[in-house]
Order: sequence, then C-alpha cells, then structure tokens
Amino acid sequence: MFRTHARIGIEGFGAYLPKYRIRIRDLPLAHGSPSPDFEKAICGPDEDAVTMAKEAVERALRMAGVGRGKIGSILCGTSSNPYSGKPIGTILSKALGMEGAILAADINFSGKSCSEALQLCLGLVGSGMVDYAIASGSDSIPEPGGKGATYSSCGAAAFVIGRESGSSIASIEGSSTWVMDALDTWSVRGSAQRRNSGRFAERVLAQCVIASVKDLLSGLGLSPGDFDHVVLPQSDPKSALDLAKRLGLKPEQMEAGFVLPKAGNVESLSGLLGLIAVLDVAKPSERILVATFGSGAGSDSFSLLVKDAIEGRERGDFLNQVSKKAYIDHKAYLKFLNRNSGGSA
Amino acid sequence: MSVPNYLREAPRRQRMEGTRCKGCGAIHFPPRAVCDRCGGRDLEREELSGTGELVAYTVIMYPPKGFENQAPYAIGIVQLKEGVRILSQIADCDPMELREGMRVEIVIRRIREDGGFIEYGYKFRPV
Repeated sequence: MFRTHARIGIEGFGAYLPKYRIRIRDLPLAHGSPSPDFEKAICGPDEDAVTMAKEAVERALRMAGVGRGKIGSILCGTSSNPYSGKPIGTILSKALGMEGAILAADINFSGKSCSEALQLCLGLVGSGMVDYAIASGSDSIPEPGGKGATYSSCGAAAFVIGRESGSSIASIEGSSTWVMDALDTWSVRGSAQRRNSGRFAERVLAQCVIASVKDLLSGLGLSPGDFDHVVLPQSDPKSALDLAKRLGLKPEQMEAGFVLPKAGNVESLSGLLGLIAVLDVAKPSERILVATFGSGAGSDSFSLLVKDAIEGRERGDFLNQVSKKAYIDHKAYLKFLNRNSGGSA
Repeated sequence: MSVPNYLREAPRRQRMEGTRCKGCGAIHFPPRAVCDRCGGRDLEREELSGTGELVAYTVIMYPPKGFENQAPYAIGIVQLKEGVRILSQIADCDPMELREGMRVEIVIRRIREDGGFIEYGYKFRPV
C-alpha cells in the first residue's frame, strides 16, 4: 500500500459530460443487450479530449478556490489525445493561464490513466515538490463499435490535490496498485481496432481489482463493510456487479457511484466519474473506496474520508449534467464520431 | 491561421483576455494598446467573465471552407456582463431553439483544423 508522509486532501473536483446521449439499444451491436435502458454521452462535433478536460479542470479549480499560480503540476490521463505528438497537459496549461514553471504531462495507454495521474499527484504533493497538483482524465470514444466498446463514453474529470487542511473536502487515507501484464484488451499502433481475449479478460479484471483492494484494506486495517460508498470499474454492468459480489459488497454501497447506466464508461477514468457522483452527495465522515482498472495495465484503489468542509461547497454539478441532455440517433452518432476522429472540427 | 498568430492570440481566444483602461475603466475586447474612449495608454490585461446574453443570431447553412462539417450552425452577437459585444459561434444548441436575450456562457471548442494543427477558441453556449 502507498502512504504519503504528509496527509493529502482533495480540495476540489469537477467533471464534464457532453450534452449529447445515445441509448445503448440504438447501437446495432447492442441488439439483445440485457440493459436496454442504458445510455452514454457523446462528444459534440466541436469537442474532443482537450476541450472536455478543460471544462472539468475549470470546475475543479472553481470548487477548490485555489489560485492558478499555486498549481505546480497538471497531469492528464487520456487514450484519445487528438494529437499524436503533443500533450494535452501543456495545451491545458496555456488555456488556463498556467504556463511556466509547472509540470504538465499526459499519462497514456491505459483505461485507468486518470487514477495513475491521481497516484502521481499524491506523490508530488506528499513529497512537498508542489503545493497543489491537478489530476485529470478525459476521453472520447476511440471507435464506433467493437467488442467491449458498447458502453464506451465521452467525458472528463479532474481533482485538485493538496496537503490536507481545514479546507479539504476529503482526505486520502491511502492508495494501492496492482500491476499485471495481461493481453486482455489491447490494440496495436496504427490500428484503431481493439482486440479482446474474451472470458480471460473478465478474469484479469477481477484478479487485479481484488488484489489492489485487498492490499489497500489490509494496509489500512479496514474491511469492505467499513465503507459507506464503493466505486468499482464500470466497463459493463455484468463485471461491476460480479466484482461487487466477490468483494462482499451490499447494493446500497454501490448505489451512488454506479453511473454506467446514465453516463456510460469513460475509459481512461475507469469509474472515477462514479467517485465524483459520490462526492456530489456524500456527507462528512463517510468513507469511500474507489477501485479502477485498465486493460493490460492493472488496478489502482484509494480510500477516502469525507471531511466537514464538503458541506460548504456548491455540489451537484455532475448530477445536473447527467440530467441535462439531448438524444441523438445512430446516424448522428456515426457522424459525430467521424468528426471527432480526425475530420475538421 | 499561422502557428505564430494562433499562439499569439491564444490568451484572448482561449481565456477571453481583454484590456482595462486604468484611466477611465473602459474594457476592450480584443485587447487594445490605446483606450478608444479616453486615448489613455495605461492599460492592463483582464480576463473577462465569459457570461452574457445573446443579442442577435443567424444560422449558417452554407459554411465557408473549414467549417463544412459543422453546418448548420449558429453564430451570434453576445453582449458580455462587462458590456463588450462579441461575434461568436453558438455551440451545443438547436439553432431553431435560440432566442434573443438568452443567457450564454463561454466554452472552449475546436474552431477548425487547418494547416496541420487544431485551432481551439471560444464559443458560447446557452446556460
């Protein structure tokens, strides 16, 4: 388990979900799907991972009330950078007026890139290298279909991390990671097509998540029952529910953070949108367990304790975005995807 | 747009950075070197609020080069809280549902992809 010398807190959080939605039942590959009422968010024709990340980071900064000059690092986890040779982190630093002596970088190639960015931010702040760091993640849908892409969604999230103080909305009690080099889902350079090893992939997910959660819980001396809210990877409804069962979780622990039916699965965030949904409604002293998973990468998990300062913050922004939507049909969906994968904006 | 020009204009296109005259308080957007109200040369950079209301709009059905994939789209004149009026694209809307006087807010979006790089800049969307 990882534990920083200084106690670390979340100062602010923000998420962005595009306005457009498609119902999963309107996707040809989802015919016969057991979850016809699910829907996912789609980027507008002029949106991409950069524009979405900027919205999420701005919201997080607004909530944190931290001046831009105090931010020492901005990390962005993504698998859909519109550039193949330019980090989103630097574009964000310019767009937000934070260029200069700031560490700006991207974390790529993993479905849990955002939680990897979060782990690194804990280290940067915990070691005293920077006062505040931003961990963000943003993704647009990489391809129109394919196995495993049914629930792939678009969106972004960001967290402002600092040393725990009276203004922190939650403290991070500890984190853990479990790395396993597995060919469960992957794609090769130059090809957008994703390959999946089927049933083996589900086994890898369960193995990694359970290992990282167990490591975290044993390090903290806690059990799954000690958590008021639990957020697990949400690549599809079946794997999330199977995992919950294997970890001995109750449905009420999963309820607030299960956003897959309304928001889809924003890949590099791997469930961190669920954490934002929980923070939108959490009460002081509640404990939150978050576990993420990236195919071929492993799993990260975090334990958070909600602090009193959360009561004074304006919340509910993410839940408001979930309900503010415009449905598009499959034809428009394909048109939007085409625009977002290299066509003119 | 050239790369140097894009980078030079990024503060105003991506952060809505204007100028405020220290002499008479007038706000300008885009930024100016000389105040158009009092002729003062002592101006400071200031980020504008990015919120305002839609004064007038039109819908572009036959777009110019570089905007073909976005049509039909709306452009409008937005009056910011600071009193400045700006011509901008209106994003995230059904052009048929736009109304004069609607409250709008700034967003950063892809403007176009031309010359091998992506131009990001401000648009407005209904609140």
